[in-house]
Amino acid sequence: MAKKKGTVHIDHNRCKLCGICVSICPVQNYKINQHKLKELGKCIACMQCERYCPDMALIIDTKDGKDTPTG
Amino acid sequence: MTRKLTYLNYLKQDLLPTQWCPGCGNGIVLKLACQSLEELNFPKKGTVVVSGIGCAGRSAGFFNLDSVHTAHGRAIPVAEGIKLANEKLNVIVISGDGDLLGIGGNHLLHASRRNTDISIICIANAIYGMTGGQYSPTTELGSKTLTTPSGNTDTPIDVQALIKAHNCFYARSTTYHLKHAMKCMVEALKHRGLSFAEIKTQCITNDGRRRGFKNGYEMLMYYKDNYKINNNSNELKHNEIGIVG
Ligand SMILES: Cc1ncc(C[n+]2csc(CCOP(=O)(O)OP(=O)(O)O)c2C)c(N)n1
Ligand code: SF4
Ligand code: SF4
Ligand SMILES: [Mg+2]
Repeated sequence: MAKKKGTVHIDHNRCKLCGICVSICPVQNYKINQHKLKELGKCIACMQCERYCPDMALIIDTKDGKDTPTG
Repeated sequence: MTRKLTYLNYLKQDLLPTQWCPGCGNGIVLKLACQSLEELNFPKKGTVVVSGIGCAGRSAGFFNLDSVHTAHGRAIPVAEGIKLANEKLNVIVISGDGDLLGIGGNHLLHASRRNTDISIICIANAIYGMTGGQYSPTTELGSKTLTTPSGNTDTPIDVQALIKAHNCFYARSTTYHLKHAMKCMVEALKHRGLSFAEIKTQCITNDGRRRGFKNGYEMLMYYKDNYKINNNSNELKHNEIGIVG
């Protein structure tokens, strides 16, 4: 199993709850709860959410500064 | 410490969030444009962004660059005027399909004929988003919109053919194909002479929902499934994306 490699930073002032990250994340790291985006600490640093977020609300920090490539 | 999104230096960050709807693809195009400017090291002084009117037309105002928000359809002639007045400037147009190809179509026709050295990024959402979802010149045949409730019967404009007829640069991509879309923008920005990068972009509110898409993500997946990258042709079929510069 992939172990945690990414730290998720959510800018709640920018997030519009469009849900693209919720759907695109390969490890279901996000959910929208009571009108707020929550992350569940499972990030494998694939960077998809950061890349697709239309509102530049997500930053993924990786320990070693490298991404885990996904297919 | 949180990593900084350095490409955001090209935006007035205090204006974020944009007023675009949740899941709208315009933000993805805005971001790719900034990343392309960053990759090419475009100077902040000496680069001008011009937009027309529409949701896409809001783009220019977000850049931390000199920018002009022109009248509907007039982004291209204003950009040509700026270039003519000072040819040292990098002049970029970012606007909508209705703005550039509908009301402004005649300007594109003649700017391409003149091969003016401007880079045009067209946010092609196949709809007039801002005014509620009327069909646009890029609405596909059969597509249901506010003004084509039984499906569009008018042939979409062949902008590739128009641009190529005048030997200018044409590229097409989508907001799903991020790397590819960025490559299209980078090449368009580098091109000397008129370049046109058409980015298929989702409008969830006034197009997608009416056609049964639940959210922006589903529209991105539609682009993924329906557009194929073609690197080996100088003529793209309607479901292909690529660079035919
Ligand atoms: C001269 C003029 N005619 C009509 C309008 C109304 N109008 C505003 S935006 C728009 C369409 C914009 O479509 P597009 O360029 O595709 O932008 P989108 O909102 O889809 O991003 C129209 C017809 C206007 N503002 N000015
Ligand atoms: S970087 Fe990838 S794994 Fe981490 S939260 Fe974003 S989409 Fe999920
Ligand atoms: S109406 Fe469509 S194009 Fe305009 S902001 Fe909303 S989703 Fe984007
Ligand atoms: Mg449009």
